[in-house]
Amino acid sequence: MKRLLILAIVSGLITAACKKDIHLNLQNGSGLLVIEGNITNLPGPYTVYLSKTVTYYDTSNGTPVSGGQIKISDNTGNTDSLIEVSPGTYHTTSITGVPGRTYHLSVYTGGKQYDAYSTMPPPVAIDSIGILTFNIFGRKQIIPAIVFLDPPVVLNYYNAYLYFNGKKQNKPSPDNDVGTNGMPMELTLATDSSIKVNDTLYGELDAIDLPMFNYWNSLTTTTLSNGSAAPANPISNISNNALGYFSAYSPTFSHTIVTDSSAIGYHTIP
Amino acid sequence: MLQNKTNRLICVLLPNMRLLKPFLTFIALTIFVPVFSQSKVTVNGSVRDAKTGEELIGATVFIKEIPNTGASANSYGFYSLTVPKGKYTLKAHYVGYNEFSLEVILDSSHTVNINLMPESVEMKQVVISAQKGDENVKEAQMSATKLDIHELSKIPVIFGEKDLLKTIQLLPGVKSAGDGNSGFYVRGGNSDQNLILLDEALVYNASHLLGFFSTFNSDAVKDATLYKGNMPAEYGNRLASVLDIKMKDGNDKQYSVGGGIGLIASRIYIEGPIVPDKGSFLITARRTYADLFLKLSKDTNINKDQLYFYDINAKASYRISDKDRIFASGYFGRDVISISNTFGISYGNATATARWNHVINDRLFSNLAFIYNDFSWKISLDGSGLNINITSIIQDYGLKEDLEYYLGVNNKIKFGAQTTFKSVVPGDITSNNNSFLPSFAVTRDYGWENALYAQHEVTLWNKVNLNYGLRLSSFSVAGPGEQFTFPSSTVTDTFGLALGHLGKTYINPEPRFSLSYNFAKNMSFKAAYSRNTQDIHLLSNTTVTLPTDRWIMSTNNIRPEIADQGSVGYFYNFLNNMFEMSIEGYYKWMQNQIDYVNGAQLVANETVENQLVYGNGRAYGGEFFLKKRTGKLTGWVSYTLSRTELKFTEINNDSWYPAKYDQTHNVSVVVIWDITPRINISATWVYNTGNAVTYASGKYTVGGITTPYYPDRNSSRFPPYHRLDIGATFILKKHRLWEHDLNLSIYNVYNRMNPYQIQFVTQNGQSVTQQIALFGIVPSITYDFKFTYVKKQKNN
Repeated sequence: MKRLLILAIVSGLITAACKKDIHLNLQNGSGLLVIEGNITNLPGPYTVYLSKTVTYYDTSNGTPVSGGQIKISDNTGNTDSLIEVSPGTYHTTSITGVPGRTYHLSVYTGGKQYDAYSTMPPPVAIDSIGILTFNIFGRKQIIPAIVFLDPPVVLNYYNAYLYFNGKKQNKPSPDNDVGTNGMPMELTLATDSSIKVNDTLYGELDAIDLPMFNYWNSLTTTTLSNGSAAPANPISNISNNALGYFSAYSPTFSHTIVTDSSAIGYHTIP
Repeated sequence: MLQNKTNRLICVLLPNMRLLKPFLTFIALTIFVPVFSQSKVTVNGSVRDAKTGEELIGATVFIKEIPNTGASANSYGFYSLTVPKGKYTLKAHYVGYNEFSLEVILDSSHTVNINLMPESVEMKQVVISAQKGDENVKEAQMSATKLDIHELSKIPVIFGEKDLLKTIQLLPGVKSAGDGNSGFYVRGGNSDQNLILLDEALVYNASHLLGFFSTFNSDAVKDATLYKGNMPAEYGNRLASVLDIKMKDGNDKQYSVGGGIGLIASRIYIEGPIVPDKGSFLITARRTYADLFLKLSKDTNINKDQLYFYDINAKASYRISDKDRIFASGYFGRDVISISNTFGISYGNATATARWNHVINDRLFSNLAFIYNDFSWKISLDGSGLNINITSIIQDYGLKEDLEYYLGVNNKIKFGAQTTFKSVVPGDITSNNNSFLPSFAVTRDYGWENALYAQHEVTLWNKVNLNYGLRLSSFSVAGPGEQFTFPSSTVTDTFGLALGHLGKTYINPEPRFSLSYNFAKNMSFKAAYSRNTQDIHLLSNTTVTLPTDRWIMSTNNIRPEIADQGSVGYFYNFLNNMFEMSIEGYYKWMQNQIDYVNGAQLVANETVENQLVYGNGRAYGGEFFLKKRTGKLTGWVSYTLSRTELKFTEINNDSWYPAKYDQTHNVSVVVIWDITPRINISATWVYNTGNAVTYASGKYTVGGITTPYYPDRNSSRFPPYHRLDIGATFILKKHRLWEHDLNLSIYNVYNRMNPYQIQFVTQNGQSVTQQIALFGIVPSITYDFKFTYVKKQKNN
């Protein structure tokens, strides 16, 4: 929430400016390895994707990498070798996700070894999902939000998503409980969609560990944010300079159909 | 603790004293010999404008019969010359004034107050060609520029509001932070490494409306000098530069009222005597009224918006006696941006200075000053069910004593002491809705800053001007407060510091040295070295300089920033000082520079220190400057070739990379043409290599998100920045009591879209790059006026 304030100021400034599309002569940053691995407390199989970067103006958004040797193991002695189900997509066969365990992802491809570790926190239940009505720069804007009770444990990390009319909005909304430990929390969900009565909203709240909070937080503040003085890649938890992440997390869900009474609050911001 | 440090310092210095012996002998010879010479007398006094009574800072006073006796009036207009007894012609000159000449018989010490008559506009074309001196060549001080305040009014600027900070950016070695930004970079220093002083008080944020205007109302400014790093020992606590601005004292002879009406802003000032020839006052005020146009809007949301700033400068001075003068001066400014009465941000500076000038004896001048300054900001949200305020304030209380002792002709010692207590409230949140945004009070930071300095200025063999000194600065973390220890990224230890106790203390000796060798007429070679340190640092993680950027003092984790700069230069004035030329080169090494880790959270963060990384910087370059100073056509060309690089273990694999503001080529051309005494036109053209930026070089998809891939930090460049501005001033009427003029200007004449930001975004599934530019062509018009009221002299 803290970030929203500052962004509102910056975006307010920029609306007055002249904007145009330009074509730049960019460096060639293609061919770098990208790993995305997820394991949750829900039933498997769990998926790992291997791909390579492409140049910025390329029409595709990545090239799949086949033939990788991938294993996921946990700190209780379980190990699973993944099988490639389609180019670049690998599935687990036996391992199950249990909160409290630490998982190890091992990837061998292109003659190099990559490792990542992630610890799965226990799930945190969403109380409800609803809408917050904001008055932003004189325009009424509806932003979905979830409400949940933060556990009394110090330092919980979260990431949340909105599913709008059944479709996942790929906009992460990371947060932590600094200043709100053990208290009810209101977390707004990033979206491009304009929400109307009768829309179906699903909220997903992922309990994540600190390295993954750093990943999502740096992704939203310095990689995808255009106001950053020094844009940079998100902080990855994978060794050997691979891009991407490996996350063991516990999701919970809640849904609502928007009616006039879905409001959990009315806020006037800028 | 402080005592321990001092003891340790003495232990280190003492054994080395033997090595210092030849140096000390030299000091003794140059300082003490003239004092004991027999049959010398001193002439001292002040140099003032005959019409307004304003002291003329830097006016030259000399004895015609003795070559190279020039003394320049100090910051308070005081001069002192010690010469053998005799009959002399005492002369004084100052740019824009008629020369003063007086026959004096000096058989004992005398006070001679000098009043210089300003050249009238009609006379100007004739007189001016003979008036410009060659102080810039002779003086030891290098890398310094004294701004000509009269010239300032002729240089075109955006919205027609003449602006000191924008003009400074046209000088060699000074780089602009870009459109809509008053921040500037000097010789590879960051924008927080500039010491900006207004009547000795520190100005933390020198910009209005997020950088479109500077805080300095030129109606209130008498004198402004910029030192690019090799500053005299009296200044400290910033690495890159000092911009020393002195406010006008006000006219102590007659009342006058003046002002200007522009498209965006209007100004008014009033000045006059409190007691004729003894006391004076000056009040200036400015307000922008862009938001008044918003009131015309039919949209009920927009017409409630506010967007303005105002500032007020006030000063009063009084001569208690020939030897004592007191001053009080202050500045107060505020910016207000408010949208629909529900969201607001306001910020501003306040400064107050009380000074006492005292002539202890005809050779010893003292200035005692009490200084207060603050900078504060507030963000407020006030809507149904939500009431949030975020506030921050930095406050400094300082006391300072400066002494100048005139040993003899061109031989002067300056010494003094300064103490400042600083406090920072980094950003408190008060909220009525804790689940939306919790209330939060970050620990206050307190610091105590001290300095002792001494500096000797001397001329040897009529050819060499030497200026050397030492500044001993200290900074102590002061209680009450929490201190943290961070060997890694987590807090391992927290310890409290009680009220009245000092924590970590840093002591830094800062040697300063500069020399000029006048090897031929109007030609000199100069060299300088200086060390500067800095104990307060600005953390900013956006491309725009927001007032909410966070200032943080040194702690046990953040060590003082240190810069060592060496410079050499060649200075040449030719064609009877009509042209001034200089070539300077510099190399600067910076330690303990501060940057932050990727994804750092700087606002409302208790343990912000673990988001920071520390490294080194190096900057080097060459500066070329050619100025035509007299005639109908004046102006200058400035070119800087430079490089600024940084190195942090955590960034770009510990290799050197260009700083954001590393601009390889930097060109400014300024032309002012006085067509007639009543009409002048002017033009400025600037060009610089684009700032270093980080452009994406690839992309990939993770978690369903198309993510740009960024290579090394600052590995790309913005397109070059260039822009032409033109302006014209028509003096409609110039009368002894009444004058007015009209100023027209066009900013960015050929409508160049200089990039302010380049964004990497996905639009309809396509990766695109978008350029944002702030200003195209901006024409503006300003009307200036001035009334003077002269009281009839009563015949007693």
